[in-house]
Amino acid sequence: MAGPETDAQFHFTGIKKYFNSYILTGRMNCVLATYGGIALMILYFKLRSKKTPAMKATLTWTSSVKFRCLEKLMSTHHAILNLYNKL
Amino acid sequence: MNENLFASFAAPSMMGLPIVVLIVMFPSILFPTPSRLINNRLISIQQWLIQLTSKQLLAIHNQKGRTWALMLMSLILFIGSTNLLGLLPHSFTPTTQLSMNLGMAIPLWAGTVITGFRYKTKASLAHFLPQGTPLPLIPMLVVIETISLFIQPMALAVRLTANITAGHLLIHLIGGATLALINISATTAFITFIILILLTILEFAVALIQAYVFTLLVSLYLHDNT
Repeated sequence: MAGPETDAQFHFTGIKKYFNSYILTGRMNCVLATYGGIALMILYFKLRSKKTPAMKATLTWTSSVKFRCLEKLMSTHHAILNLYNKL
Repeated sequence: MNENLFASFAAPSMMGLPIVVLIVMFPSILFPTPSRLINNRLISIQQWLIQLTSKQLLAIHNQKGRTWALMLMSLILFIGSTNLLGLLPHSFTPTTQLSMNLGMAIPLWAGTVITGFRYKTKASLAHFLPQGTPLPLIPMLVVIETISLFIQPMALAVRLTANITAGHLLIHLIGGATLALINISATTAFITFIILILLTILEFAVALIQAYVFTLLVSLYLHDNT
């Protein structure tokens, strides 16, 4: 392990005061920022949608009211045809 | 020679019952508890050895680190005695089992790391980034240091397992070669026998050194975290 930290000899300003690789606090903050960045990347890849735009368009169309009306019309048409064939 | 070279590393059983627990507990019989102020020769020698080792191991530690004295001394005595007993012919050596060594390494390493994070959180976190690292290398080094931290218990366990297993395997092989060569060429068999003697002496040293290395590394991890 390295000798005792001589944080007093380093004088940083601005963001370097909190994120540097010399003083204890700076090193800790860099480590935490790295872990936070990795966690955010994992979260982003897990939560992003896996569907392509074409799939999204198809799903939007199939869940729309117009599509449901068409579907019902087709099923009614098939039912009438079957009844006619039976007669 | 065994039909299977690894037969001696199988967990032993007697009449269908596993006796590995008895074998693991056996070395403790060899260290009797001192019950008098001045004890017999065996206990006196053991006490002298324990004092010598503990002074050397615990010299680098502060007050907090020295609370681990009993743990560290038990560890070195257990591993050392188990390794030495394993050099007896046809005996089973528990420290050839990776499961056993992982069972020792992981809790001890985790104990040191948790102690460090609990009492010195800032220093423990700062430890993941070496001082003076250039800015572009910081994320990579943090990841590398994290990986090297988690590899420590694996390295501890695998080092002990590999060293003891390799030594025993070599003794098996060279012993088998010596036996096979007796009928073929007595001179070659004699030379192989000399090699076997030297190897056995080496294995005695390795048995003690590996116990010391295991304990020393645990002690160093503790020192880093206290």
